[in-house]
Amino acid sequence: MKNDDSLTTIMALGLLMVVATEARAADDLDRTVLPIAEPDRPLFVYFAPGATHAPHHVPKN
Amino acid sequence: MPEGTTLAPKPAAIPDWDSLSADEKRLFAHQVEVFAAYVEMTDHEIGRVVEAVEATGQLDNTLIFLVYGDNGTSAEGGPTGTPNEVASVQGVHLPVEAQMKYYDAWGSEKTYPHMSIGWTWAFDTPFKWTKMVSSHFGGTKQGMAIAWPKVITDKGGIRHQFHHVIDIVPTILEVVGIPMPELIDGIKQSPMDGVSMAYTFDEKNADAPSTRTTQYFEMIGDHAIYHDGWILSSKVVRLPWDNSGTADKHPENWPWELYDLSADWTQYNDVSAQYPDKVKELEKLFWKEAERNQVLPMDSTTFTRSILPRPNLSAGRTVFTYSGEVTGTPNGNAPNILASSYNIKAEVEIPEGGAEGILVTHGGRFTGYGFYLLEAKPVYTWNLMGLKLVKWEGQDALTPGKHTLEFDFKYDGLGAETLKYGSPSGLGRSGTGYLTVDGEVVATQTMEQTVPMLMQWCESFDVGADTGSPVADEDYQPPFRFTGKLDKLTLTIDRPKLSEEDIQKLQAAMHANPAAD
Repeated sequence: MKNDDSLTTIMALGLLMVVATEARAADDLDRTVLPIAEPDRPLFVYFAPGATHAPHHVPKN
Repeated sequence: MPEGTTLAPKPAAIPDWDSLSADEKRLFAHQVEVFAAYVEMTDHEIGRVVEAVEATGQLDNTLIFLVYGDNGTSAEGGPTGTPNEVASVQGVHLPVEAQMKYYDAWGSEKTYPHMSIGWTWAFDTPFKWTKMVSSHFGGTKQGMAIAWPKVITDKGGIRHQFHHVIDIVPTILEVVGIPMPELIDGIKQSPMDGVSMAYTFDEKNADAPSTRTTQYFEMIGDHAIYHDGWILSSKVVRLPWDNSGTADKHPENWPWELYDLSADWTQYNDVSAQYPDKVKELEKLFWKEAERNQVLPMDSTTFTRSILPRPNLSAGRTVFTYSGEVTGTPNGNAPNILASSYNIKAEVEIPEGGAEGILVTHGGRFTGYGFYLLEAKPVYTWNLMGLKLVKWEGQDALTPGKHTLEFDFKYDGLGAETLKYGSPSGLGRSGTGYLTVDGEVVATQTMEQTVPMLMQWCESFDVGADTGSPVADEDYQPPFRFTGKLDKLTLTIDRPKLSEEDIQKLQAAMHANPAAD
């Protein structure tokens, strides 16, 4: 989800696909899924994190 | 698992834990600790998605599917795991001692790691085999959880019906009442192969027969057909971590195994000899489904297949010219210089005060090459799978004005054409590189080994700046944009051609080994 224009289009349709990789998963969530979850708006999300595919990347904490 | 389920035996190729050395145990345990942390982090993030839905007050009326895994757990790390998967999938397995150097960095951006196959197989318990083995459930079976509190009242209920991931979309369409469109933008759609799983939501249907009665499986020649509680599986011929491309080339002839899944969830008892008619029936069904789903012809080569010529922008071209910065060309459209001789010529203008930065690079920290100026001195670096940097360095800073820099590489091997004869012998061979400045050789070096097949797959080909990770962390960090003027960069590839004699030898070797035919 690098292209903000396509993200806007997808959000307008109430549909979102998030393909997050490794340590970026948390950032991608903060930027995409969480802000658009609203009570009266239908929500369709594919949340496809990097796990459990290689590489096995995880922050130290 | 139903009571009486038999634990599948461990493949002989996977060593017993008790047979490992203390260092192996320590390394393999750390590899899997990192994997566990990775899974735990993902679980936490998925929890945040659920919380976000809950915060809207709509969780009760939200249908959530959770599928967790990687086909089966992946064996791509090979027998000892790897700090760099780009190495392991090309058949370069690091000794444990060498891997120990990465112990503290394991799981960070300085590694591209994967655990060893023993743990992989353990995560596929109680099934046989691992990811890439589509004939056995260790390579295909995943747990799935479905939640929809308003509708699914049998909280914690377990369902055993046989379904496939393609059944998720029809389930959603059924419950929201949207029919599958026959046309989209005037284009007739392929029929929906999936079937809805919504019937399983109701506790009354906990033991209802599965609405999916047939499913084929195929990956890299390994194949199977499920039908009405039976599965006909091809015998495992290629080990899932063997990417040499030398496995038997005729998957259509691989022996069958038959399992009665009603009594044998783990494919423990092969009953093919007992039910020859069932074998015939399912075999016929497999070929029908394989034909219908464009599976044929089956191909048992792995990563060697990925480097065969195919339609793309670089196919058939041997000369590539660039003027100025062009970054982000994906591997499929990038000039492929592996297993070949090549020349890279950069015509540059150096401003007063000197210049630095990338002329051209492909790949990065885990495999790749870079041609760049470091404090105005030319450097060409090969990163060999993160294990070794081979560098050609000019001693003198370039003076202001126009210069021509060249890196010329003469490859000693027979090249990728040996793959046509079932042999990877033309790949990864030695070669000698010459770095020249304005026609004068300033550095010469021979590489005993070269990268055989693959550049780092998540990186790209970049001219004038670097994206992703650097080829040499000790020299620069991206983007390391070129601060001079790149008038023209020309990359010329001279692929080896097989002589008649080479072909005869390769054919003789192939006929001596019918498996490779």
